[in-house]
Amino acid sequence: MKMEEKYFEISSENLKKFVERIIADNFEVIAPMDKDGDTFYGKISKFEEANLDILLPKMSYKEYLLPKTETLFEYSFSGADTDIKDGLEAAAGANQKRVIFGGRPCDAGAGPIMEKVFNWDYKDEFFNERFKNLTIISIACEKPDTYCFCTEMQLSPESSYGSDILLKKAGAQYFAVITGEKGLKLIKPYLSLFKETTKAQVPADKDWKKIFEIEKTKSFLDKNFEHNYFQDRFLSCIGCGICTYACPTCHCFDIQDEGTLKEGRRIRNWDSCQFGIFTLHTSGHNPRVTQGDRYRQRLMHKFKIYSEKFDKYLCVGCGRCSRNCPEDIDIKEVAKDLADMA
Amino acid sequence: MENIYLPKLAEIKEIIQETTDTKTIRLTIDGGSIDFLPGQFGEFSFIGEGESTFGFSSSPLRKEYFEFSFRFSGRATTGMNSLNQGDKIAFRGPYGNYFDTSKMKGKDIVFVGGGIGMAPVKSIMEYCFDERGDYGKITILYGARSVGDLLYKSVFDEWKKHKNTDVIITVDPGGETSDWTGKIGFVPTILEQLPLKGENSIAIVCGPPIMIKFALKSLEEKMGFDKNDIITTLENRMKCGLGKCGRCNVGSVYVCKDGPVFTAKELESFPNDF
Repeated sequence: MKMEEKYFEISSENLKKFVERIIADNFEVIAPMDKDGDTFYGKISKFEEANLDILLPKMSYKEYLLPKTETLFEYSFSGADTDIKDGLEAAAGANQKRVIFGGRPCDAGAGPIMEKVFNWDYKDEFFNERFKNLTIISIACEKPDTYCFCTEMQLSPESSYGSDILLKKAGAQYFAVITGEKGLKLIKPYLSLFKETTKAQVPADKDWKKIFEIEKTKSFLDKNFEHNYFQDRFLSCIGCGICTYACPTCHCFDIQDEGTLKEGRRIRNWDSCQFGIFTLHTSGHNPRVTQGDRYRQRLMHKFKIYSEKFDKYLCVGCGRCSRNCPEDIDIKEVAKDLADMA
Repeated sequence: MENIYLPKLAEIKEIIQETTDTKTIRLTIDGGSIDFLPGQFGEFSFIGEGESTFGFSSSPLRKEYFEFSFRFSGRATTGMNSLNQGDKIAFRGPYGNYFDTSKMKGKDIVFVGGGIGMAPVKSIMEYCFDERGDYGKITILYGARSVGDLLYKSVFDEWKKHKNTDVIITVDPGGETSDWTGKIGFVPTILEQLPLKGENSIAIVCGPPIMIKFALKSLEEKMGFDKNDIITTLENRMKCGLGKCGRCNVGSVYVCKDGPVFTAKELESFPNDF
């Protein structure tokens, strides 16, 4: 049975101590880190290295669930014999002490959403092992920016969905919402830093407003596959694929072999539906010829296909695809346009 | 805990050079075939060069081997082209749905194949031959761009020997040779000339998208086939075959898991994205 939520208070000072202590106890702590004017998730060696003020790092922490490149198996040849070494053994059990610290509720929502496609029939244990072992401590957002639309995507700047621990700032201290066993297990050895409280003491969520209804976006997509909007709006798309790489839920991948005549490995790499080669047949036929076709597919997959298959939209509304887009294609505006036309 | 991407090694039992750029390879695992159903597919790889998706082209009732046909085009297939009898090909599968033979029993069957799209048709066709008594009249229409592009020439005579079976082979206009005795014309054109009726019949169609489109139109509009009785198989680009990697979907369907076999009725409900 699912554990009931627990609530704690923790001072800023004790939060620092908590992080320093788990690092000392050999946890690998991944947090937003500044690098050359940008912020990315990375392994911190002390609390001060974490940038907790940034709204969102440039990329999500998807790579800790689905690495950019992952070995499926290694192979070697000796004479006529081929030896295959399963790559799952290396992935399994690895990173059991990995903590994401200081991510946001949108990023935390991505794990349980992607978990569905990786398990709807065949079980992808590479994903499962990483997901199972990851403990996620998120910080609720106080000031989303204009690209953010998590509220439209059925989450909110204060949502605890997908987080093991959600921290909500209140003056000089934080309230910690422990959503399940995993979060409780992490803080248990350090309980003296926390003070248990009740739900009533935790500040209530604000009334976050939506600018469109995602159900309306879907209902437009249900009926308008051939609509001119797609070809017109995405004529400016240069097909760079950054929207899919920066996205916390885009999970499409490619499988490739790399190596020498003697040995090598089969790997899976992040791929992108924005590339023409993604669907190109050997015959030369390509079902998706224009960038309009490809961006439409991204919208369809996120707001229609995935929800029909798995009962969840494949988007958490983080807005990274828009912020990173060299053509400033704002998916929030696009989703709103579609909803308005529905 | 199972690694779903891990292939098994299969041994090459026989290689058939079909055309200048296509081959059929017969494989065994543990000395025999594997369990699969007609219409399903597998992931075949030349380890070191990569994996490719192919439908099985042999009848699953032939237990000595399982086979697939391929054109050498990219890295993996060029690698496979270099292999010899006794060499290994890595395989995982079978995947996907299959032709529902229970719906076909007692009926007349027409098989329509174009180019290398004949491969999955051959599997279900030979399955019907292996259980010949279960089916009515069988009509086979197979076409390719030219005489040189026809696969399975070595088994045409075997197909023709079956009772109550018509075999029509055609090549596109201009693709004939001086000694060609078969038909000349595009597959949908020749199809319309055949004395076929939709009643108590099932049509199985696979080939290039343009051929499928016109063959379906002919079967429905000219011959009165019900849309539920026309069955085709989509050959989208795939990587995982397991409904994960995201490239084969058409509308809300993952071709690798929900397909690759669909009726014309189902096809009609899909957006124009294949």
